[in-house]
This record gives sequence, C-alpha cells and structure tokens, in this order.
Amino acid sequence: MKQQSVKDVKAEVYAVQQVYVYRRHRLEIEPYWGFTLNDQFVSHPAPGASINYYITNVLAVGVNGNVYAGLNQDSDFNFENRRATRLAVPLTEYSWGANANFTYVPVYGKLAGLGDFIFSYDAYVVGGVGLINTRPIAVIDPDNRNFDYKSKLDFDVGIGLRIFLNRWFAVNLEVRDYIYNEQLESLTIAQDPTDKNTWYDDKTHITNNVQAQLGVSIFFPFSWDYRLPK
Amino acid sequence: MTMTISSVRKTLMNRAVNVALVAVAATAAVVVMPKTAQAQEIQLTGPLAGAPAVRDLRQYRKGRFEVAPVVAFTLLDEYERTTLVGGRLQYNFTDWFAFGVWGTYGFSGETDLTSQINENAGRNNRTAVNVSPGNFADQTAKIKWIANPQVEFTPFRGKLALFNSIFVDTDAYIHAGVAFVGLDERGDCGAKDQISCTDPASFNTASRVAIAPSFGIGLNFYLTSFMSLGAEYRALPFSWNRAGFDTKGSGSDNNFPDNKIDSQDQTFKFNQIIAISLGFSFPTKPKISP
Repeated sequence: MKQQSVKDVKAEVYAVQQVYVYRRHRLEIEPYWGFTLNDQFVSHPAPGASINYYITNVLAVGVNGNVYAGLNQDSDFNFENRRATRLAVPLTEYSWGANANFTYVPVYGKLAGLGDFIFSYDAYVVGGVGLINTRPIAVIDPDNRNFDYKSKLDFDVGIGLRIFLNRWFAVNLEVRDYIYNEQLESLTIAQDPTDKNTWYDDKTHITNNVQAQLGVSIFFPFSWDYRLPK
Repeated sequence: MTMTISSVRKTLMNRAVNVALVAVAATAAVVVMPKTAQAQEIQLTGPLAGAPAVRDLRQYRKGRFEVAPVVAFTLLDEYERTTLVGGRLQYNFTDWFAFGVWGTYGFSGETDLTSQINENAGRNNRTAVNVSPGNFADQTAKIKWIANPQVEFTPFRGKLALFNSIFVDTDAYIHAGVAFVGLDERGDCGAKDQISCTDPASFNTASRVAIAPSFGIGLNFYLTSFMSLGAEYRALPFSWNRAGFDTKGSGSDNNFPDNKIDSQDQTFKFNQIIAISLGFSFPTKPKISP
C-alpha cells in the first residue's frame, strides 16, 4: 500500500467525458446514391443530397433531393412477361424528388473496430413532405401515348445509421420510403387513341418508393468548443 | 431483338454506374481522411498507456454455442414471395470468428402479378407454352428450403444508447458461405423424349437444388447475457426460372423462345433476404476480457 501511495499518478481519466460528436448548431451535407428496394419492374437509382441543420443535438431540419432522370431501369423481366403472357404491367419512371424533413437522433453509441479503433455512431429517424416528379412509361399503347412528367405531393419516412470516422466525417446508410399517389397508364385504348384525356387510369394508386441511400456526411464547422471543461 | 439487346446494355451500364459510384464514395472516404487514424482518440500517456481499447469486455461470442430461431422474408419478388422459418446454429471460436449453418424452410405466397396473370392471361395458342390452363401460381417457382453453411466475422463490437436511458451491447458482423437452395421449378419439356410444353402436365413443377454463394451483414443486440436480437441482410445470387416461361433457347443470341423449357430459361436473379432472429448462447454466462 505504501508503495502504491508514492506512485506518480498521471490521471487522464475525466469525471465528465465530453461527447465525441456534437451536432448542435452544425450543418450536415450528405451526398448519397439511392437504390430501389421495392420495385421489381422499374428500378430508380438516383444520386441525391441532403442538407440538414441541427437545432439541438438530436433534432435537425433540412432538405433532400433525388435526380432519377435518365437512370430509370426497365427490367428485362417486364419484356419477357409481356411476351410470354401477352399482358402488360403499367410502369412508371421518375424524374426528380425533393423533400423538406425533420431528423431526430434517439440512438447513439460506440463500436470498437477489430478491438482497436473506436468509432461513434448514431441512428436516426427522418420524415417530411415534398414533391416527386413522375410519369407513366407507355406500354399499353406506346405508338400513341407519350406522357409528360407531373409533380405529385409525397410524404417520406426513413431510418438511418451514421458511422463517424472522425468528428466531421461519417458514412451513412439510410432506408427511406417516399409515399405518393400515382396515376398509371390506362389499360384500355379509347376509340380516339390520341385523346390525352383517355391515357390515364381513372383511379390513383398509393405508391411506396422505398430506397436505400448510401452516402457520406460532412459536418460544418469541423470543430467546436465545449461549454464545460473536461 | 434490338430492344432486348439495348435493354440488357442499359441494365449493365446502370449497374456499372452504381458500382462506380459506390467505389467513388469509398475512395473519397479514404482520400478525405488523413493518413493517420482519426477514430476517437485513445489516451496514449498516463495510466491508460498501452491499455486495450476496452477493458472487462463481456465476450458474448468467444467459446459459446448459439441457437437462434429465425424468421426471414425475400425481397423484390416477381411471382412468389417467400417467408422462411428456421434457425441458425453456430459455434463461436473467438469473439470475432464463428462457423455455423443457417437453415430455413420456405412458405410461399403469390404476388399480385401472379394473381393478375392467372385472372387475365388468355389461354390460347400464343400463350400455350407459357401459361398453364389451370392455376398460373402452380407453375411458378418456389423456394422450399435453404441450407447455408457459413462463416461469420465480427469486426465491430460496441454499445448503443436509446433515448439516453436504455443501453444495449451490440455487434456488427459479415457472413459468407455456400447456400444449397431447394426449389420447386417447372420441369423440363419440349425436347426429344419429353412431353410437349403445351401439355397441361408440363406445367407441373419438379424439385431441384441450386447452389449459390451467400453473403451479407448483420447486427446483434444483446438483450441479456445469453439472449440476443439479430437483424440480418442476406444475398443469394443464382439463376432460376421463376415464372416457368420459355424465354430463351433460339435465335442468334439464344434470346428467343424455342418451345422448350430447360436450363437456358433460367435467368439470373440477385435474390435478397431480410431476417430477424432471437439468439440463445450456451454456456449462458459470457467470459470477461482482462
């Protein structure tokens, strides 16, 4: 005991540990790539970006946008199905989407990588409202029908996981569902097939565009001062 | 024909773009990061110098046998969606390496597309090879079972805080293996010594075992010292004839129907599964690291 008492202690364990990543009053810019998770007929990959401002350490307001134009991918299986059954499935393609969102961060934690490096991470829920610009792909009467893009109101909800590699840079994986009311191509052809009023199905359909979004987050400013010392 | 080729090219190009963008994101992560490790700083002086990143770590895996009932669901199904029920048995040699078997039995349910085809497809000489005169759902392929020996690597171990009040130990893992998939798939027909593909009996399914690589990622949340809740993604890419259609076999690039059903009509699919599990580990008390 006496030997222990004279030992020179360099105490660097603090009574109050500071949060490693502090989000309050910081701006997050997140470029990402989106992958379709639930449309086996047409996939809608898209580059996108989110910008969020954290009002508190757990609550942010922001916007995000996706650009689908030119990247919609009509699956081979649509053609094979049409050829085999002589039936066509109405298809839709997207041009762009934009949403205003709230983000809430209820979960955070640490991971030890290979028992050595320690990474902070958090999980969040996001939701908001916006517009998605879509149109049917003409498959019932492609000779006469050529649809224009229309914007529709959408609501989005999602969950995400963010792994911080340092205090301002993180890798993000998010699953988000953009819910909107879709107008599909009419399955019947009118006597005057050029009459645009007859091109659309009478009913609208609630549509879920579920996409995975893989990206990186950059937080500004890169550093900050803690209110309390260690 | 031009439509088919251009559509395939488009598909390949878009996939290439997807892969390239993910690679760019990963490269950017490496380039943007300074060369020195910048994960959370570990004190290198004082009493913690040389200390491990975590002391008194509950080693939930090391030397433990795990039994985990599993419920899983297939994603992006065209004609049949499958709910899989089974389990995972594995032995954890270390806290980061395990070997085991993931096995499930499948229960199929038809998609809306299958119901629509059954109700609306004409049964005539133009569809005679492809659409059963009976119930269309009877000819579609179904996953009956999966037996999947696999290894599991767990590079990440940590904890999470929920609403700043509930704390749960967590790990993240990667799994890889070989999957044996029991399928019921429309049997071969139309070749010499086989029945015609317009014969109603030709729409019956036959059993086949497909072999595929399997891989994915998962998270385990340790609710108690012997029980954990898991969420997992699993990919099993292989070719199968999901609708029982004759789609390939003739023409210069074999992309036209040949009035036969055979292995050429099996098309590639990146089959994906989401699973949840409840794991029980034995012995029930984990070891504690120094």
